[in-house]
Amino acid sequence: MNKKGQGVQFNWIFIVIAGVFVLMFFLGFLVKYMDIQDSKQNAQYGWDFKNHILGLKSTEQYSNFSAPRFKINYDCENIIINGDQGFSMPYSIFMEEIDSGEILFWVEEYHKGFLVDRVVFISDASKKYYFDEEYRSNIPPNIRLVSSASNADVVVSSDPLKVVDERDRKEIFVNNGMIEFVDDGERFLYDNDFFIYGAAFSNSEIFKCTQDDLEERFDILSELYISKISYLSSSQSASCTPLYNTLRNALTFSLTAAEIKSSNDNLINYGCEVVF
Amino acid sequence: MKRGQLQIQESIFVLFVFFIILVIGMVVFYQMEFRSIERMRKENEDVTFYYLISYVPAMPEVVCSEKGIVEECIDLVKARAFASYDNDYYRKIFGNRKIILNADGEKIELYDFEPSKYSAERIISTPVSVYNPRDKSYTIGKLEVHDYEN
Amino acid sequence: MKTKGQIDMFGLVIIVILIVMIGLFSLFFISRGQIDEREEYYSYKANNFANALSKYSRGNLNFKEMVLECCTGSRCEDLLDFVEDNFAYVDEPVSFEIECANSDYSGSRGSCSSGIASESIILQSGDLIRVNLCRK
Repeated sequence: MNKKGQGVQFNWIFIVIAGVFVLMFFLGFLVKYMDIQDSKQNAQYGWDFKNHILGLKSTEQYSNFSAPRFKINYDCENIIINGDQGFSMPYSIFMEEIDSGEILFWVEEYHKGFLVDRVVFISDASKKYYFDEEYRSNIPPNIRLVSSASNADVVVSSDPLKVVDERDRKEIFVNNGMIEFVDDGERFLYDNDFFIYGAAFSNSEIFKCTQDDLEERFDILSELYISKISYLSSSQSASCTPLYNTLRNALTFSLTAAEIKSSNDNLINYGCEVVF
Repeated sequence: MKRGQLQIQESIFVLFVFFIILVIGMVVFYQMEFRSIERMRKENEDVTFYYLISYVPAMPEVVCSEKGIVEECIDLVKARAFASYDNDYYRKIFGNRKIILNADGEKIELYDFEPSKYSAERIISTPVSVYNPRDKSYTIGKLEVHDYEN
Repeated sequence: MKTKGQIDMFGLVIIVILIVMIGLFSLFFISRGQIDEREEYYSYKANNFANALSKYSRGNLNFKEMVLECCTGSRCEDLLDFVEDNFAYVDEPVSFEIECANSDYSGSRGSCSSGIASESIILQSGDLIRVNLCRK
C-alpha cells in the first residue's frame, strides 16, 4: 500500500545487484592484472637468466646469478620460470628443480676423444656438495664444497657408508662404472667422470635425457668425422690410409675416448692430417 | 518534478558514460600489458637468433681443431659433411631457420628448415675464417643465419 | 536548463577526447620499439673479421707475411688493398687499422672512423691490427 516505500526498496535491490556486478568486474580485472604482472616478471627473469648463460663464452666457465627468489624447472627441452614462461637453450643442461634467488652456472666441455658439446650445470648456489677426493679437482670455486658428507645437501661417493639413503639430502653412489641415484634407485652406466658431476646436479630423469642427448650428438659427430676420414684418406699419402682406417674403426665401434683420441693424435706422428 | 527527473537522468547518463570510458581504458591498458609480455617473449627469441652467429662457428660439428684443441675457424670438410647430414636433432637448436656458409665461391647450406610460408625474413651474417684441410689454407668466408617470422 | 545540460555534455566530450589522446600517446611511445642493443653482435662480427684476416694464408698470399713486409719494408699499399678487397664479407661500413711495432708506420683503410672496435690482434712480429665496424 505504501507505494513510495516499495519503490525505495526496489531501488536498493537494484543498486546492490548492479554494485555486485561492478565489483565483480573490477575484482576480475584486478586478478587478471596481477596474473599478467607475474607473467611479465617471469618473462623478465627468463630473459636475464638466458642472457646470463649465453654470456658465458666457450670453454670452462662459471658464474653466479642473483634475482628475487623464483622457481626454475627443466623438462629436457625448455627451462621454465615459475611454471609460466619457458625458453629453450642451445646447450645440454644438467639441473633439477631450483627454488632460489641465488643460482650458479658452470659450463664444461664434454669430450669423448673429441669435443662433443658444451654442457651447462645449473644449481642453487646455497647447496653444499660433498664429492670424494678424486672428483674435487675439476670443480669450480663457486660451488660450495664441504669436507664431510654429514654436512652436505648432495653427497657423491663410491663409499657405501657415506650414501646411506638419508631422506633430507641427495645421494649419488658411484661404483664400477655405474652411477646410482639412491633416492629412486635409478642406475646408469657412465664412461666419463663428467657424468658424475651431471648426476650431482640433476635428478635421474634429467640425467638420462641429457646423457642420451650427448650420446646422440657423439654418434652424429662420429658419422661426420667418418665422412671427413673418407675425404682425407683420398687426399693424403697412401701411408696414412691404415691409420685413417684405425680411426674409422674406433669411431664406428665407439671405442673408448682414449683409443679414439690416440688414433687421431697418432696421425700427426706420421705426417698425416689429423681428423679432429 | 520534471526538473528533478531531468537532473537524475543526467546524472545517470554521466555515470554511465564515465564507466564506459573507465572500462575502455582498463581494457586498453590490459591489452598493452599483454602485448609487452609478447614483446619480451619475442626479444627472448631474438637473443637466441643473434647468439647463433657466435654459436654456429664454434659448434663441434664445424669448428677447426687439431689434436683436440679448438681453433677459431670453420673446417670446410666438416662443414660439407654437416650440410649433407639430414637429422632432426638440430631442429630444437635452430628451429625454423636457414644457415649458409659462403666460402671460396661455394655455397654450403649447413641447415635448412625454411618454412613454406612466412611473413618476414631477417638475415644476420658474420665473416669467418675457413680452413681447408686439403691444402691447409685459411681463407675468409661469410656465415649467414636466416630467420623466418610467421 | 538546456544550456546547463549542453555545457555538461560539452565537458564530457572533452574528457573523452583527452582520454583517447592520452591513450594514443601511450601506445605510440610503447610501440616505438627499444633502442637496438646489438652491440655484442657487432663486436663479435668485428672480432671475427679481424681474426679471419689475421689467419689468412693461401698459396703465396699470407696475411702475417704481408704485415711484416709492410712494417719492415714499404709494401703497405698491397696489404691495405688486400684488406679492402675483403671488406665485401662485411655488410656494414668497416675500417682496418695497422700499427707497426718497430717503425712509426700506422695506416688505415675503410669508411668507418669510429664504430665498434674489435680486440686488437698483436701478431708474432709485435705489429698490431684492429677492425672498426659501424652500424648500418
